[in-house]
Amino acid sequence: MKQVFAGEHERAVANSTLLSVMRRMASPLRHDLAGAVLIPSLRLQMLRRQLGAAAPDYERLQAKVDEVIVALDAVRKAQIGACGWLEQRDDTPVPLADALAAAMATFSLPFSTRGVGLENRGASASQSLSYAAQPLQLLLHAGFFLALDQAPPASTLLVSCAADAGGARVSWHFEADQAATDGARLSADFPPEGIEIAGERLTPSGVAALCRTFGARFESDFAHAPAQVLVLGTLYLPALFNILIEAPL
Amino acid sequence: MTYARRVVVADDNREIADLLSELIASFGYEVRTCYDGLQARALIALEWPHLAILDISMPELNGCDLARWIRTQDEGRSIRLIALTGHCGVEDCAHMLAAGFDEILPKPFDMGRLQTVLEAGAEGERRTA
Repeated sequence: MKQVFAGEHERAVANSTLLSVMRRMASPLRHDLAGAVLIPSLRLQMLRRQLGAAAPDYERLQAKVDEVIVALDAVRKAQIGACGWLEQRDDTPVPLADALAAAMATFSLPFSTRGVGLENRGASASQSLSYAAQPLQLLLHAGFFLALDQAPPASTLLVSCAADAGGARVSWHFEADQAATDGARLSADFPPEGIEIAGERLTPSGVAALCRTFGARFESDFAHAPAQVLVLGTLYLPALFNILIEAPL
Repeated sequence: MTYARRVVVADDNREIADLLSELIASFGYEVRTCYDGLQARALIALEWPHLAILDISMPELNGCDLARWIRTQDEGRSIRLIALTGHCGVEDCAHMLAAGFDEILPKPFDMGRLQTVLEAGAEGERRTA
């Protein structure tokens, strides 16, 4: 599927959104790498302390060195994974449900730190559909970052997924926590008071432009939302979705 | 200088939790190790340690939610809470401090930083004793 641009402005918006997503993924990628590096670091510290003992047990020390070598191999794998994300060139097909579950795991912490719940609804419908790994993750992450930027306090982000012959739809919408709202409708004024969003904040139009770049569609629709529900948007992935691996930059 | 102080270490990565606990114990601290947030909450409520080093990304109950809960408890107000994390963006750190952590110990950390954190906890304990 070819890239279709309405114009230079749209291209610029898509590129800007792509850069924002890539920059903001630095934190989870750094988290994975940091955890991997910490293990050999701790093992070496323990080894150093044992070497300072009056009568070091050399057999035990050798086993410790082997553990460090295994840990360094895990670092290498984490590094390859992080570089793969940055390069955006992994076109291995992955089930949409798996990619969605992985994205939800990545985003559970940032939502939680804002006091916002995260719930997956109906992902089983997407088990049969597979898409190229990295572009799919990119679009899902764009949707989650957008949701993160616009999360109202005291709410739960519900992520639902449906699939049919035409393709798949991933929807994000917020539901007010019952106790907090007492029947009030969620506000569409973003961001909520007290939450400072860094300069990389995404917009629905930016996410839509990014999705179009890859032949997908993102629509934000507040009009049909019932009270206590705030519809953030829906990502439409056509069945014959052949996400280009080329980055639009 | 070492102190026989009670420290809780919680990380869902068992390897990190065990290694860090072993290392801290080698400095003379009494260490309890947990592998998820719920387990850590139960243990903390039982023992009320002087210092708790909590991973942020834990299933069921993450470090920030656990810190918020600890700070709502009478006994939890004086615990020194350290966030152990690889998420070190400005916004991430602000959320952790707002949740009730006293300090952030970024992964990977060096030995000097760990000792400073432990000694600060022991120093605080001496002052409140």
